Amino acid sequence: MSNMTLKNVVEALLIAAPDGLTIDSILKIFKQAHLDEQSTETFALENVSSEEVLTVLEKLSAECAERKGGYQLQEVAGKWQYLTTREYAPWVRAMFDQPRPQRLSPAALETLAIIAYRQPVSRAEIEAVRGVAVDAIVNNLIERDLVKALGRAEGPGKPMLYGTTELFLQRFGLKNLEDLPNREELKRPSEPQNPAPLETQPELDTTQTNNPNKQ
Amino acid sequence: MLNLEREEIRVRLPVFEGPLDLLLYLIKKDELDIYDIPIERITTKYLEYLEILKIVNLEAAGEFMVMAATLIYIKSRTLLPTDVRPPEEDAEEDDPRWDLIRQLVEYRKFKEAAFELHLREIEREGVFERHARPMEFDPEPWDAENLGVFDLISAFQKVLKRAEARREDLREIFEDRWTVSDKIVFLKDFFATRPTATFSALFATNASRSEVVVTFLALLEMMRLRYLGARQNSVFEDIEIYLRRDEDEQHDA
Repeated sequence: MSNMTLKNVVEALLIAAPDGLTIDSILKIFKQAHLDEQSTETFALENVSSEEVLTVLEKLSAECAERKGGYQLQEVAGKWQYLTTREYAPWVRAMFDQPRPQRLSPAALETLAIIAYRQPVSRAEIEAVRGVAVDAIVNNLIERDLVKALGRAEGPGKPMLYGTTELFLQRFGLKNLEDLPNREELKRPSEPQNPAPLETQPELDTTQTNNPNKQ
Repeated sequence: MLNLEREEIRVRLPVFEGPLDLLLYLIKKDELDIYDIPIERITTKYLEYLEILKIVNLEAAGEFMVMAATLIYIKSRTLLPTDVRPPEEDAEEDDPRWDLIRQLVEYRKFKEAAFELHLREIEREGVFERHARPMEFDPEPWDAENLGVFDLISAFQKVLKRAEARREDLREIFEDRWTVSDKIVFLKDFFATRPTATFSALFATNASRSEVVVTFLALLEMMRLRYLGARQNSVFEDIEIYLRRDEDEQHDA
């Protein structure tokens, strides 16, 4: 099947998708379509590779950008999706009858930045960087579902370690954590500590179970 | 760092996110080299601001006090000649300022990263996702609740037309003497033997226009009493009248 058709099929999927689509889910859809239809067209797309899909997605995205229209195609949190362009926010927001969302405070953003770049990270480490107590802010970020507990560190006191959520990526329009600006400069200089999975952590440390994360 | 450039700093003091933030501000304001902080000068400045801060917000001052102590400690160490300085634990560098400088540099990096995130947040909040959903083809039959009185009236009009057509053949005309209660009895009997009937079937035996009208009024009354219900399986299908079983007892009693 020509690239032309693959591109159109992907475009149709993206337009109809209620949410964004990952490349994996697009590949799964191709398999399912052939199971359902058994036609020469569905057969032709049944074994398309993820690279081919990515190429087509990037092409569609470039076409949108070139068109300079009211929408764009972006990858956010691993999902490709059509989004409105920012210039038209006043009207789209009015249509949804929504107030402008609450932005995070500078303190919350600083804390979130430290967690994002240094995850998994403990409260003590965050405090060491910011030079102030961060308990309330971390709790608030957890409440907003931007930050989550990943597990406990293995060091003394077994402090809880934190990381960012998928909503964080969505809220800041990031493809993934590698997409963080200046990531190389800001990442932890030493090896990150591996959190022990939450489930296997006993309340009191009586048994030292074999931890798969242990090095 | 972002909006503290001007001298109105005094009223904006609580904006500082912490002692490191304040130090960075002081360094930037006096265009000092962060890697070679004049510790005496910065300590004096810092303490001045702390005085103001204490007036503005006593509670937040705790963390700022700790930093003040650190600054004074560093200052006192720098004043001593290297050979008489008491050895410090974990000190990697000879320069007593080094720990603080490292902390400041790192904090500044994250402050910039936070600003970067802030820009992205603004960018993102103006961007909206699609909310596509497949058109809903309702698998459920249209229920009595969905069926408006106008649906019934238009069905009634069809029946009326049919009744008119039936009278084309000439015959003797006599006055009908149907009452609504007669027809209610008729409908009760009618549904005693079957649970459902099409709308038009109810009028099959009706001979005259007035009888059709009276039957229709009886039907409306029984629907109002929730004895009978009406539903339509698809938009253009004949309306179906059914006995509301759940109501059987209270009406038959």
